[in-house]
Amino acid sequence: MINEWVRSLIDYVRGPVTRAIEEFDDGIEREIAFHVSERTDEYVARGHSPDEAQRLATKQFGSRARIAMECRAKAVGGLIIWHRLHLCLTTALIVGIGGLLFFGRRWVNDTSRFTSSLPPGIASMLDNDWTGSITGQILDNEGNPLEGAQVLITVKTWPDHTYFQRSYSAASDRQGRFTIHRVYPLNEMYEVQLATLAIQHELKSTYLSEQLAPLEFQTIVLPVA
Amino acid sequence: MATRDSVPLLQGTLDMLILKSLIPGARHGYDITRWIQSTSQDVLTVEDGSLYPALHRLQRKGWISSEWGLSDSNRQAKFYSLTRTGRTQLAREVNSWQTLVRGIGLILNANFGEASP
Repeated sequence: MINEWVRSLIDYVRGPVTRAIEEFDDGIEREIAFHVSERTDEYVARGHSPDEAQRLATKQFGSRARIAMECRAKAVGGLIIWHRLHLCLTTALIVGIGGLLFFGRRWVNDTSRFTSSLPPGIASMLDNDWTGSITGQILDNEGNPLEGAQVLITVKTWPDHTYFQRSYSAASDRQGRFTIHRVYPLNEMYEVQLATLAIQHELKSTYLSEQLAPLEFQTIVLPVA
Repeated sequence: MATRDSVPLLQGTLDMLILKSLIPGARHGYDITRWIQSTSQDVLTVEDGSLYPALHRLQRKGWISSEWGLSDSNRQAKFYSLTRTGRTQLAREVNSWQTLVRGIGLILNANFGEASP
């Protein structure tokens, strides 16, 4: 199977032009031979001996090799160059597309390209595992859950001695519970400011400093305003 | 065969004569030379060696096509036929040739006695 492919490839590289030239050479030889035979018959008809007629016809025709070469040049001259050029361009196209696919995939997959241009603090901050979630419940003085209370969370980190801050917000559900996912890093020190506000209740703000572990469940009691 | 009164073909006229010879139908190379010679009453002869490069040049230009067949002498021969573009080209060449002949005729028939300065 592979041998056949290789043979086909070699055949293609050798080219239809080469085959055409071989066929052409064979054809022009036959064509010249026919012409000389007809001319020989003409001389024989005029009374020459067959040998003499053959000699005269051959002489009259001239150099077969030169004429065959001229015919070949007229018929297929230049085609070899075009065939070679075609091969070169096809090869260049294949190499170009292959290179584009290979290097293009590497370029797309190289995510460090996106982060390497960022400031050091931002880059290392993005590298952190920001999967820490915060959950809690908001109650009134009597321990009843407060639905629709607004929760504002501000998370502060100091990656590579820089300062970085992100804010999130949520509302409590019927049980007064709230959850915000992917809020703080699990492998970096962080601090959280938690502000809670509900209608006809006082604003309550809590600051959780120097945290390294996941936050515990937050229970927030809002006094009536 | 060339006679004493025959003249060599003018450069560029061989193509036209070949195309003209193929108007009635397909001919092989030898028949073309014979037709040109006999039709011109032996005035014009085509050298065997110059005919075939011209035939292949015309074929490459698409003015004639060829196919193998049997000759009257029962030999394998290559027969050439006129294509549509070849016919158009022939008309163009004949027109140019007639213009040239008319111009040369006017010059050669010029009467110097009546010529104005």
